Amino acid sequence: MIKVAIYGKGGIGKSTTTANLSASLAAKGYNVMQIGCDPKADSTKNLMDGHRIPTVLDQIKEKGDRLKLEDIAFRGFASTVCVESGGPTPGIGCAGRGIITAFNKLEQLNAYEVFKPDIVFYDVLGDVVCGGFAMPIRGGYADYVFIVTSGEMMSLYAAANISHAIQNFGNRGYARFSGIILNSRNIDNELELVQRAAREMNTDIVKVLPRSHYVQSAENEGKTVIEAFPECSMAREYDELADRVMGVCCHV
Amino acid sequence: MCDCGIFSSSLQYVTPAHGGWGVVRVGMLAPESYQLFVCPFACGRHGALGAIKHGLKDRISYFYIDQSDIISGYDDLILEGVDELLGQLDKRPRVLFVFVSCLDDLIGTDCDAVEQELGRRNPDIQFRLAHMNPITMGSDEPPQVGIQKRIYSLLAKQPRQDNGINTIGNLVAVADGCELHKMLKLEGGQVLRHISEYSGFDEWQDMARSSGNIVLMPSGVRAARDMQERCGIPYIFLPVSYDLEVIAGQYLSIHEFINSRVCAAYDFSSDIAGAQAAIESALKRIGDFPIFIDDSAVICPFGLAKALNKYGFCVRRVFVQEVIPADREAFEWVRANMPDTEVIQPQHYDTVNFDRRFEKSLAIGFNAAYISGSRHIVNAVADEGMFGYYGVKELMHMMEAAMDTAADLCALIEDYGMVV
Amino acid sequence: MNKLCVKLPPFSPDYSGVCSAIFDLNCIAVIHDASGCTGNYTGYDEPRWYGSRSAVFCSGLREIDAVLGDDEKLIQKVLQAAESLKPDFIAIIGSPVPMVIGADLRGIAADIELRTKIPCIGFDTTGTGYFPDGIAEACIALLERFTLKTDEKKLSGVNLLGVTPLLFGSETISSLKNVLLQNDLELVASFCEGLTMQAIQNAAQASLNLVVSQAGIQPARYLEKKFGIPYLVGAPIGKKAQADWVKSIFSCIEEQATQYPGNCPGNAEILILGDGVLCKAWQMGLQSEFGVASDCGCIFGAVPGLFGEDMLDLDSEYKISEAINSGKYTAVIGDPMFRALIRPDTELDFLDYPIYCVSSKMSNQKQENCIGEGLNSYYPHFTKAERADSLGKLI
Repeated sequence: MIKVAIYGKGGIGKSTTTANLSASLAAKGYNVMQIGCDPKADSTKNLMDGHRIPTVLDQIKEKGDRLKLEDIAFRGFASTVCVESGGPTPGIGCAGRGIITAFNKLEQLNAYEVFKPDIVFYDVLGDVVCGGFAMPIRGGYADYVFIVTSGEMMSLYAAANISHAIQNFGNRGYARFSGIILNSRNIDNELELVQRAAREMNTDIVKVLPRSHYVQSAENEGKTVIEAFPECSMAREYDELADRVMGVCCHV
Repeated sequence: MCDCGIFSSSLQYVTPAHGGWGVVRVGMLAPESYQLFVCPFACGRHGALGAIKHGLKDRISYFYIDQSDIISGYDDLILEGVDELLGQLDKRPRVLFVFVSCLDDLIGTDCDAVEQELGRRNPDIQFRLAHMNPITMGSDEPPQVGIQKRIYSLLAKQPRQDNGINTIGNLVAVADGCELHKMLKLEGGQVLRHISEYSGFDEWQDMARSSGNIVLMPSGVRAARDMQERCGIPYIFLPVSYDLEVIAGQYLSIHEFINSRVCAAYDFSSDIAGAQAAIESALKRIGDFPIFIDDSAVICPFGLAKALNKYGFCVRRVFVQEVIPADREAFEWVRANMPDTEVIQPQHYDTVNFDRRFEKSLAIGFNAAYISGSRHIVNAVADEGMFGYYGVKELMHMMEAAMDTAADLCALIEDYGMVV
Repeated sequence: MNKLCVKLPPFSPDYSGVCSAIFDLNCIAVIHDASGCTGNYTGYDEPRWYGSRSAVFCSGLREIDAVLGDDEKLIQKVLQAAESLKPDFIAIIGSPVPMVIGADLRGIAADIELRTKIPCIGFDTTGTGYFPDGIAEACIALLERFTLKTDEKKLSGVNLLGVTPLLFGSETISSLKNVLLQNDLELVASFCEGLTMQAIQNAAQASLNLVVSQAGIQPARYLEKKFGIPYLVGAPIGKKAQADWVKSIFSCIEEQATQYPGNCPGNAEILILGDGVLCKAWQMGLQSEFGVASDCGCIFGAVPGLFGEDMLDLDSEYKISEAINSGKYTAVIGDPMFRALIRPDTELDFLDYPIYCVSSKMSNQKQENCIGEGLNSYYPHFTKAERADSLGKLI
């Protein structure tokens, strides 16, 4: 089982990227699980035909100790297993802690043993890297971390924060920082900007994803590009990303 | 274990002799009040068992929150919990303290809004959102300060003041035998009031009629300052001292504070003579027998060390976790003038080695006694009941009595019912 | 325990379970809290605290450290103390605040271990679980960390799992151990009372694990999975029950089989309140000695592996109170604190059986030893229809 965390600033396209990555690998025959770690809880929407699934936290609140695995894990496109950790009502509570509780619940219910995924993606909001949002990179969870970013300032800033979190805690057996996925926004000098940032973070760009109208069109249908337009050029880009991610994770 | 005068922040060892009243018991001083704790169940265990020990369990309940409540925020649960509680109580309290614990400082419940809403729903009850949050120790509002502030915030401004004087901060009233009572009576017929003497909420409002607050413990200063602003009651801070010179100065301050209009000030000479006689007698009995002092017995342990040293006693150890501002000057004096006196942090991790046993000693304070294994123990906690020349006399009697008996420390601690 | 609790004190929490489990070992245990959590343990959850030299410490967590996630401060404090005290291992134990900020106690432990070269274990306790969870977590961590693989099996060697002063009085514990001794069984390791590092290392030499309270079930499952050691769930309460227990021990060793107690059908007259496994043991004892049927009121949550209508999950004051006052029972056995829940119109006999994890030292009663014949002399001592208020005073 390979466990990969994909971090990125909110709105940068990390959920779209992750869902397409999951879809691509699932289409190739891998058993894939995707866990959304964002209080927005829409990471897996495009794998579930545009439907939002109930979150782990909502279900814990509703069902308490009677909670079963089938209440929180759902099969989506090409049998991907989809989970959303969820979060509190905006303005109160603690979103970071929510992720930890959701993770503990998945473990308690033996999710990994039951679904036996070949690959697990944690799709994590990277704006804040407090204890909870850092959970996926801790020992025992993800082994590899990729950061999705564009050339925009705030996005690169978030990326630098995440890479700090990983590198600061080298002594604790945390995940390995495995590279940057550049999700192009077509701003000036984008590639150079991100290359420079990657050098500063001591890592490489794994893949440059071009901007494509297929992404929006697929999303409008509540699908990933892989599912909606399997023959299009953008689908090939995601396939290539999937190959590279697998390459990094299997050969490091 | 540090003996260099520098107080380190280390892992903390908690002896069975460590502790005090705890916010639950302090809060219970407020007449006709009830407490509801909204927290993980674990946070409530010591408070509940302490309340059973002190016969207060019928005034405290718990509303347990779990992890999912913490994640989603529990502002609404507090409202529900209070409704449910009030539905179950036989008698509606006049005051309900809703306590939250340390974790609330991190998730930021909107306590003011909750307090207002509770008051709107239950106009016959005064609500105070209170905190049992030792995580704020070292800040400007640690739990012991916060709870006193909230208690005294229940005293409403009264139209007219009378000739009463309050002591606040101290959790036990100054003993009847103390000359302070006589002094106030003579200098203007004033009575000395203390919260522990009231069982009814309405009668307790008398304290808001008083014309002055004497604050005996640092944790009451904040409450006194608030009362000065809200009720126009001035205050004076006079931490309990056992030093005859300091006491003389304190009584002079009180004399000025109460703005005495009588010509003849109270004559302390017989009280002073009594204290001096007690000192002589104790000194004769104790001589140079080693004395250990700790900060559970008195608020200003260095002040006491200095006083005892001046009287001719042999203070060998002072156990202090940290020096409070009111005791800073005495601390400096002790460092300069009592070089043979060890200063030890009772909570330092090295305490667990128990390599400083010294049975042939007289301990003033349970913690000093526990750590040193002292055979003779003065059963004194937090200056309770003490003040002025009376306090000196009383302490000397206790020291003398302690010399004549081998104490059962375990029983003393159990009997007192410490809460950390 | 959920929501409103008016009469009962909160029971011992998970972090106390961890501390209690490692109390006998030469270790440094650090509860990562401000002071109150440590105070719970030292003041009310550890009957052995007075006069002991166990190095259980409070980390002295402060708001600013929590907000900034200043783990280095904690680490430095631990390094200092470890340097001075030279423990065999270090435990970093969670409490509500680390839970909320998501402190990575296992990660911190790994970091400390790297720097001190002393084994260091992190526990994600939260103060929202009961002590059996903490004991179980501690046992499994100790077993994982220190127990050696072995081919040397002791045929008559057994481990005790779930022995804890939080449930068992000291006399009860010694008689439990005596039963083993008298039957030529060798106690390899006693989790967790009188535990030594040597015993933990040798634990895999046992041929059977004896689970005497619910805290022992998860460790037993771990030992079965990892070392293939079967386990027997139950405790010898009552004379005949003791004989049966010993018989089962030998048959389980012989057949290398795991065994759970069965159901006790019958129209229950008595309600037993407490730890699930111990309630079950009482139930079987009462059945075999006196022919009385009873229900088990599990106050620390349901017990994995023990099912049936006679196992009631009473996880809140409300549910305990409903059960006591249901009219179904003529008598209740449990901690004296539960007397406070008897309603004025409920007629019941009550047998006090104080347990430390409920009333701590506040019951002012010694726990009677009910192992083996102990039950036979204690059981008749029901007190008639006496009720207590929430202060424990009889009314």
